[in-house]
Amino acid sequence: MELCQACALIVVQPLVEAQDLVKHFAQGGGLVGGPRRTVHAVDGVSLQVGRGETLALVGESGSGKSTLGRCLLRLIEPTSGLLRFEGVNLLDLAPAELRQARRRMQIIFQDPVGSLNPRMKAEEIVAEPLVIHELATGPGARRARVTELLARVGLPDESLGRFPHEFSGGQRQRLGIARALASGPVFVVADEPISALDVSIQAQIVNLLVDLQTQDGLSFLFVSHDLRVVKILAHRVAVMYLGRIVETGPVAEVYEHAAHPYTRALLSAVPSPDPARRRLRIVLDGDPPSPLDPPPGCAFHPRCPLYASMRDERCRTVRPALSPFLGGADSHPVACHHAGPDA
Amino acid sequence: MNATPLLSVRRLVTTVRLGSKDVPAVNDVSFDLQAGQALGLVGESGCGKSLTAMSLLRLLAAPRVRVASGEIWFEGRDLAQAPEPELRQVRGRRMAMVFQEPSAALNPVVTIGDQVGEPLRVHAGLSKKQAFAAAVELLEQVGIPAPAERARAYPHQFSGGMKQRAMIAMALACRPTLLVADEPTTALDVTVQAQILELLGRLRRELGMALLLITHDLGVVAETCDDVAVMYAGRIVEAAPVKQLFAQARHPYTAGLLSAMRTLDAPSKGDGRKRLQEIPGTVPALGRAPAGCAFADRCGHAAADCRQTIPSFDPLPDGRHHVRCLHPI
Repeated sequence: MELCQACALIVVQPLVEAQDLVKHFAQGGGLVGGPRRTVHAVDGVSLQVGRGETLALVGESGSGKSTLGRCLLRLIEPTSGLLRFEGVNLLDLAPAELRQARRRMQIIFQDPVGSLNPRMKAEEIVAEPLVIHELATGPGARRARVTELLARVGLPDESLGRFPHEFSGGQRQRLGIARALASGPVFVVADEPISALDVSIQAQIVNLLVDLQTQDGLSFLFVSHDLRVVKILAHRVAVMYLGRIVETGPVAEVYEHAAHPYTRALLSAVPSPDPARRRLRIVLDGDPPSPLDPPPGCAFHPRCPLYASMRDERCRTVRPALSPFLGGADSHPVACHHAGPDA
Repeated sequence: MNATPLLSVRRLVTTVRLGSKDVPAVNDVSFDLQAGQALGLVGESGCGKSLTAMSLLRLLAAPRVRVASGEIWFEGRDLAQAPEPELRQVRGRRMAMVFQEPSAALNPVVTIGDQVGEPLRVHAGLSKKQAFAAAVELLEQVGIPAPAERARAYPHQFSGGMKQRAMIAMALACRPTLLVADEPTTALDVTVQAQILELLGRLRRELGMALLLITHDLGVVAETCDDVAVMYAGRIVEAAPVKQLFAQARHPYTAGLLSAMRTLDAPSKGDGRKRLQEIPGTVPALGRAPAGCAFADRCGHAAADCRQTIPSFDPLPDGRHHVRCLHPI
């Protein structure tokens, strides 16, 4: 991972780059009726993912992290913004060109049951990207490639002729990973890939993802709500709240020196396995608000302990920009009017 | 510890019909829960933890799923043998349950207030109006703002966290002595999970109610429970006071789970990326457990005898720590 010397934050030659990416969904109106409203799913996000790097996107449900992940692959068409992949503006590509680019970027889904065709055998599932992109042509070559992919994700040869329901949850996720790897991608969006798995299986998949990255120099966008896993898997992390990144930086910095009150609450809410260390928990009031009606000013202010004590008018009226906070060595971008290590 | 436990489960076996055979999905489960204490029942999906909870009140899809043997002593009666009318006196009144999916457990066409008050109409004979007024108080107790107004709302107007609060309010209506909570925070966001765990802790202290918490998350147990029992493939494999289990796990399965969690919990320094300790293999499917210890195939400590003998659930010398392993760590 190459870091800019000046700020130690911006990746010099990003593989993936988004600038001011916006995705709004229209809701209501038409046949369904009701007033026409806009869901601000992704609301002006800029980020980079470097080669061989894992950027984790964390946030609660409705924060827009999954939508953002799909926008980066143009699986969902962004409303506005700039999107570059390997230096090419993805949003300019014609369908045929986009299909070519898709070979280099893939996705792993949360639910391995819902994302695997139940009527296809493992061999057909993993071979499908090869067929689409006309790779490893010839039945002998194709089978050899599929077997190699299965071996890489730790599935035995006998898996070839099996259907998804004959695999366990962890094995199905391995199958989904093999399919994602088939076309030889450099960038993989992993959307909550371990959330549906059992605790003892999660570690297996996490280790597999780390090994694959080490071997192939893959870049990952790891979408997750599990802050424990993100810490050991990602190089950098971006915390999302209601469609915007509120804090981002190298994992160790953000975890040890969280500056945004939301990040602090999120980290303190993670249950610790050490009963002797029951931490001081910051319990937020209320629920994450709906992206249909984002609060004005800072979207977090209705739940923010800082706003509750300071009642700063700016929090209610001015949306804070994501700017580096000048807190010394552990400085990293944060979107808060009152950010700071002692905030 | 010599007082009669509020709940005492002895050698409970609950079977599930698979084809023409009844396969034990809860097998030889025994535990005690004292009044006012919190016990965490931990395990992965399919280990039988939820089925154990459902067996307590016999909320089972009989005859396919049924309590085949064992005793469930609760407030002086054996619920394993109790006839249905007697069970109805216990359900929701002395022992109440909260489920993982509040959306699935709430009736979408009945107001929150009417649903929360329903146990009081059924068990305490309150009128609809009285029950609604009581529901408003209950909603206030579980931290729902503007409860009088919110009681008139329908479930779809509530967020996930609010629905779970309403479920807890309903469970508290008849002041049960035991609350069984089956993965009450699994469907919730982490900041909302923290709210619900705080709420359960506060209610337990205020009402002196016992809590049986079913979860897959050892972290949640560490933060909320006094005692913990770990289940694997239908059996409790280890049980101990929380502090003791987390200080020194004796079963290799518990030790494996804890080790992975500890790596995750360690402070991140520099490039924090590291490998997690894996437990190889997968949980055996129902009815496919190997002979001997069900964990033997995945266990780094397994010896030849582990594949032949099913270990018994024995106390360690200190008397409070039990483990089902021939070669405990």
